Order: sequence, then structure tokens, then C-alpha cells
Amino acid sequence: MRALTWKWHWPSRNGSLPLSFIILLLTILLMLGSTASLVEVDLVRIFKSTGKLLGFAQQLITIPEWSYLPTLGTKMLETLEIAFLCTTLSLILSLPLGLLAARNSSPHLIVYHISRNLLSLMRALPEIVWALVFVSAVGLGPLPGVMALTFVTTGFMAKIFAESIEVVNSKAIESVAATGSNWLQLVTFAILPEAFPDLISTFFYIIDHNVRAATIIGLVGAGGIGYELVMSLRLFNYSRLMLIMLSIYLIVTILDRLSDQFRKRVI
Amino acid sequence: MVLTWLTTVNLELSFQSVIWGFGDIIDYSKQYLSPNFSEFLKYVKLMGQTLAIALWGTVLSLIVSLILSPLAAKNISPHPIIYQIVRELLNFLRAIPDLVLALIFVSALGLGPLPGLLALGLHTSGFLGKFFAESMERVKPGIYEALKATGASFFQIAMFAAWPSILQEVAGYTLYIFDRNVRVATILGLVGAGGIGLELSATFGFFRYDQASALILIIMITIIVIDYLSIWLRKRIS
Amino acid sequence: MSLIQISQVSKQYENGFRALHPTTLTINSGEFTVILGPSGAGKSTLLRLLNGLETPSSGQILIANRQLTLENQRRLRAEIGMIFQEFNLVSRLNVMTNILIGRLYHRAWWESLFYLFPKKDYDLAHWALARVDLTEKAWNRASKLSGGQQQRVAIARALVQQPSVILADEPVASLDPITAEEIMKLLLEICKNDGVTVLASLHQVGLAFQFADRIIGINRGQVVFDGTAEQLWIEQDKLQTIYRREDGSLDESFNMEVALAQ
Ligand SMILES: Nc1ncnc2c1ncn2[C@@H]1O[C@H](COP(=O)(O)OP(=O)(O)OP(=O)(O)O)[C@@H](O)[C@H]1O
Ligand SMILES: [Mg+2]
Repeated sequence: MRALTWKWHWPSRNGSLPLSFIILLLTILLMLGSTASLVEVDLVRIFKSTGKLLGFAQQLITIPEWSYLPTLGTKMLETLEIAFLCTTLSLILSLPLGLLAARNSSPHLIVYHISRNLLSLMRALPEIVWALVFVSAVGLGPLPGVMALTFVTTGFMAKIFAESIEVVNSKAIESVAATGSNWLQLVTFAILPEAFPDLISTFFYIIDHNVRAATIIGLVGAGGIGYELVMSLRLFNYSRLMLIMLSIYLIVTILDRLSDQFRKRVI
Repeated sequence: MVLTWLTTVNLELSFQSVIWGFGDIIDYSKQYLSPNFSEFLKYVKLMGQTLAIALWGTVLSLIVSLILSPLAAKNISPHPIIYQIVRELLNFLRAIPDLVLALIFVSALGLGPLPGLLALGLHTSGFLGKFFAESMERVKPGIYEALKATGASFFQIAMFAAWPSILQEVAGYTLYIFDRNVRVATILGLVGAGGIGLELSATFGFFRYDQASALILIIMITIIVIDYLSIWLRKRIS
Repeated sequence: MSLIQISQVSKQYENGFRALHPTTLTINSGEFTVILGPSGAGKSTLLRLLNGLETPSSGQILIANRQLTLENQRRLRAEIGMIFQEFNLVSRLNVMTNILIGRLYHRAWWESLFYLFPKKDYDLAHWALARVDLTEKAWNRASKLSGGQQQRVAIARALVQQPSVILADEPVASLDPITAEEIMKLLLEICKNDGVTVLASLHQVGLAFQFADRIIGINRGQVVFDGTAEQLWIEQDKLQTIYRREDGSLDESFNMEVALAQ
């Protein structure tokens, strides 16, 4: 009758794996199989390159170029400044945008739809793509980086903000609305205070994200440490490279820990 | 506020140039208004490769984190030292930006999508591993104790108590990471690691804004479609 | 015949709290023993020491004349069933899988990787399901069952371990009185018919009187009574020492429960 003739079978009604599980597994395998040639998966190539990777790791262990430290410091500071500035700017920009894009605080349904779509367009492209666009518009330097990061972050922050406004207890809104106050009063006294804890943890998430992004936008010449990194990699300057990677690692780890701590305290 | 102003000064940003150059900017933006789709098929194929890189990267990071996260969950990890080591490893993977990882892999493996997907997979297993481990730590401790009390091993506790209890979160986080990987895969090409990014930076290099515009449109539409798909899937899961 | 021997066992938690003072006890096989005491008396601590979920700060524990050590811990645990107040089923798995978890000690890692169990484990599980009268729920999700049904699944999970003893830590504390009595009856039946020693902790005097062969009263980490239900019934002042608090007053759960018992 069922698979009982086998020594083993699965703990389900008919002794086989659940159908949904089989379908999911097959779909994923099929997709992987059909795209394997597209991504040039080649285990031999990976295996062969381990020697090179180890060699790379070995070369990283050199005497660091200490005289480079001041430059590294300014570049790192620039990176952090870009991240900080973008976070603040987009916080300022996303407050009004978020209010317009939340169903329950938006003054009109059409405004709501327009701002929602605008936000998803802003979010859709990675920072680096915007950075490419802005670099070719305003030239090299931190300015296009700041513009690109602010653009994307505002899209993110305003969306998260709008969502946390939407889940705000509607009772609180009703009770304030019952006093006959106008839209602005409603927003400042009922909606913002309730959404505040969410905003704080969002803020930390965003700052974390922005520092990561700021370290890499330099790759296209939009300021920050990324440019230095690519250059020293291209020039095989391992004594610099090591310092740069170490400093990136340090900063990101510290931020990671900080935002973990903060999230724990807020929640 | 003061801090903001200080950083602005320090970065020598001049927003005046943005405002004064407003006319120029409009002129510049006009160049994007007529996207050039003459190489549409090539772009679509590159976008397909980009999606494939994201998929393979996500599956790779899923596999790595399936192995690592039970070791990195404090309450079921077989030994505190193993817990600490794996946690640090996950932190390390998260700390190196994936573009940097891609640069390194490209110099070891040569150009192409393979180093890209390896970089994506390793970097995001730092995220998935951490997320899964934290979900496992939130499971009711009594469930782990019940299995321990039957004499089950660490591996069996992971298989029968940890994974089934966090299945929904696993699906949610994996979708989130796939979403993210699609975005990142579009730019891996900038460092020669496959996908549509190489073409994009080339068009900027040749000032072919009409082609850049077409590429940006394709990327945008794909990402938005994927976004909607994953929102739909997430709703079905919960 | 003695099955579990505890000699001079004490437990001090990491924060310095002494949950169990040095205690010497012998649990006889085939008996239904109830550990009775107010909340915080150290009942859970005592039970969890017996299968190594807690390590004793001092003293020695012998299970069927074998000492509980780190090396044989898993093997001894496999011979000891445990039931919890909160049932502790894996809610996403079906009832059958939850019961088969009781067989995991006997399964190799690769069998667990693929969720495979041999036929003889299924036979045991079906027998245990019938024993707790849940045969028709075998393929339901554990989370879809009522509290009493979930506790019966937990009992079946312990039964497929083919244990010599079942430790039950407040098995009925989160159930309504009627279901509670049903579960206690089931445990008594398993003790008497299948010859499994049962060691259950309770804080309700009434149920203890009704089911126990032997009652061990404990208060603030110390054994203050050890005898049959009849003895405790006669020595009512002993009953009060079980529930007496540090400042001399009686635990609030006491009066109500004696009233219930009578
Ligand atoms: N992990 C721990 N760390 C510190 N103290 C603990 C720990 N576990 C229990 N205790 C303390 O030890 C004492 C005895 O706890 P235990 O859980 O054994 O009591 P109990 O008799 O089972 O009570 P209850 O009826 O509430 O379950 C309590 O005062 C408790 O606060
Ligand atoms: Mg207890």
C-alpha cells in the first residue's frame, strides 16, 4: 500500500516527503541547473584559485605603511562624514515624505499613491548607480556621493517611516481627532510620538547601511575610502591595502555592535 | 545641526553649485529622456545573468548559513568556544563589503560572474547566519530541553527543534537577502564580476547617456518587479 | 528495589542561590512518587538534576547503579522520559514526528538529516499513540491540539523511549481540573500496567493524596516530609511545614488546596 516495504520512510501520512517540499526543491534545482552555464559555475576553477587566494592573504601580511595613516584617517573621516550627512539629510527629507506616503496621515489618496511610487523609484536603484549618474553630472568628489546616498536613503527611510505610521494605534489618532484638531496637530501629537521607537531603530539600521555604502561609492569616484581601496588593489600596494581593509573592518564591526546594543535597548 | 554644518564644510561641499547649475542639470537630464534600446536583447541577457548571480549567491549563502547558524546560536551551540569562533566568523563576513570581496575574487579567479556570486554568497551568509542564529535563540528554551532530555544530539536538536521552529523566519530572511542580492548583483560588473554593471559603467565612460538610460530603466523595472514578487510571496508565507 | 539513588546532592545556581540543600533520597522502581511543595521549593531543580539538565554542585546520583557523568549522559537520558508543564512539543511538526523524537537517541546523524525513521520506530509510535488514545490525530500538527492532547503526545514521546522512569515536572499545572485528573490517571496507569516508575512534582495536595504511593514534601530546598499519603493525611502539621514560608506564614496556595482535597 504505502512505502512500508522500505526499511525507512518519512513521518507523513503517506510515508513520502510532503508534495509542497518536493515541488519547492525541484523548482530551485531546476532554476540553478538552467542558469549554471550563465554564471559559469566551475568547481575546478574555484579549486585552482585557492592557491592564488592564499597567496593574496599571505601578501596582505606585510609591514603596514605607517606614513599612510594620516591620509587614511582623513579618507575614513570623509567616509563617515558622508554617511552621517546623508543620514541626517534624508531624515529631514523623509519626515514630510513619510507622512505623505502613509495611508492614514496622507492628506489625500492621490498624494499617497504618487509619493509611494516616487519612493519606490528612488529605492529601486543601488547607490552606486545613482553615484555613477551624479558623478557624470557634477564631477568627481564627495558631492555626487552625498547626493546618491541621500537619494536612496530617503526612499528607504520614508517608506519604513510611512509603514510604522500606518501601524500606529488608530485609537490614539481617533482620540486626538475627536478633539477637532487639524492635520498638522494630528501628526505632531498623535502620530509622531507613537511611531518614535520604530524611527530610532530605523535610524540605526540606516546609519549602518550608509557607512557600508559610503565605503564603496568611492569605487566610482564619489568620495570616501573606496577609491583608495581600488587604487591600492590595482597597484598591488599591499601595505596600504591591509590598513584600509582593517580600518573598514573595524568601523563596520563597531557599528554592528552599537546598533545591536541599541536595538536591544529600544525593543 | 552644528555637526551637519561642520561636516558639510569639511567635505567642501557647495550646494550652490547644485543650485546655480540648475539649468545645466536640466540639460544634462534631458539626455536621459530618449533611452536607446537598440541593444535590447543583449541587455536582457545581461539582466538574466545578473538575476542568476543573485540566485546562486543566495543559495550559496543559504547553504553556508544552514551549516553555521546552529553553531552560532548560544543556547544550542555544542561549546561556548565554538559559538564564539563562529560568531566572529559571521561578523567578519558581514564586515567586508561584497564589492571588495568581489574585487579580491576577481583578481584570484579572473573576470566573470563566478567571483561575483562567490562574493555575494560569502558576504550574505554573514547576514543570514546571524539572523538564523538569533531566531534560534528566541525559540522557547523548553523545546530544546525536551529534545535534550530524550538523549538527542546537538545535530538532532538543530534538525528537529531549531529549524522547524524558525521555518517561517528562514523563508522571510532568505527572500530579503535575495532582494538585496539582486540590487548588488547589478553593480558587481563595475569591478568585473559579471552582470549588467560592466555595461552600465561602460556607457557612462563613453558618455552614451541614451544607452545608460535604457539600462537604468531595465534595472529599475526588474528590481521593482522582484520587489512586488517578494512582497507577494512574503504575504503567502505568513 | 531502588532505581534512583541520590546521596548528599545539592544545587547552587550561578547567581549563588541555593535551590537544593544536601539531600539523600532513594526512589523505588515501580512506585508512583510525588514531590510536593509550594512554588520555588526546588521541585524542578531536583527533577532536572536527575537527567543532567542541571549539574549538581555536590553529591552523587546513581541511576540503576550507574553514575550520571558527562560521557554516559545521553545514554541515561534516553532511558529517562521527561514531561514538562508547558508540554514543549515542536509546534510545526506533526504529532507522529513529535513522538518519533523520543527515538532520536537510537538514530544515526544521517537518518536525522533526512528525517528518516525505520519501521520498528513507527510501530512503537503507533503503539504509544494508541496507549494515550490519540490514534486519529497522528498526522495533525502539534499546535492544533488542545492542552490535554498535547500533554498526551508528550507522554507518548516519553513512552517510545521505553524508559525505566518518567520524570514529570508539574505535568498538569497548565490544565483544567478535569483534564488534569485524566492525565494523572494516565500516568498512574502507565506506572501500574507498564511498570514504569513515575516521579512527578505537584503543588496541589489534592492530586498528591489521590494518586501517590509515596509523597516527598519539599520546602525551600529541603526535604521536610517523606512517607505515604496516609501518613501525611494523619500528620496534618507536617503538611503545614511543607507550605510554611520563611516568615512563618503559610503559602497562599495552601488553604485553598486542602479545602479542595476534602
Ligand atoms: N537558573 C536559575 N538560576 C538561579 N536561580 C534559579 C534558577 N532556576 C531556579 N532558580 C531558583 O531556585 C528556586 C527553586 O526553583 P525551582 O524551579 O526548582 O522551583 P519549583 O519548586 O519547581 O517551583 P515552581 O512551582 O514555581 O515551578 C527558585 O527560588 C528559583 O528562583
Ligand atoms: Mg517548577
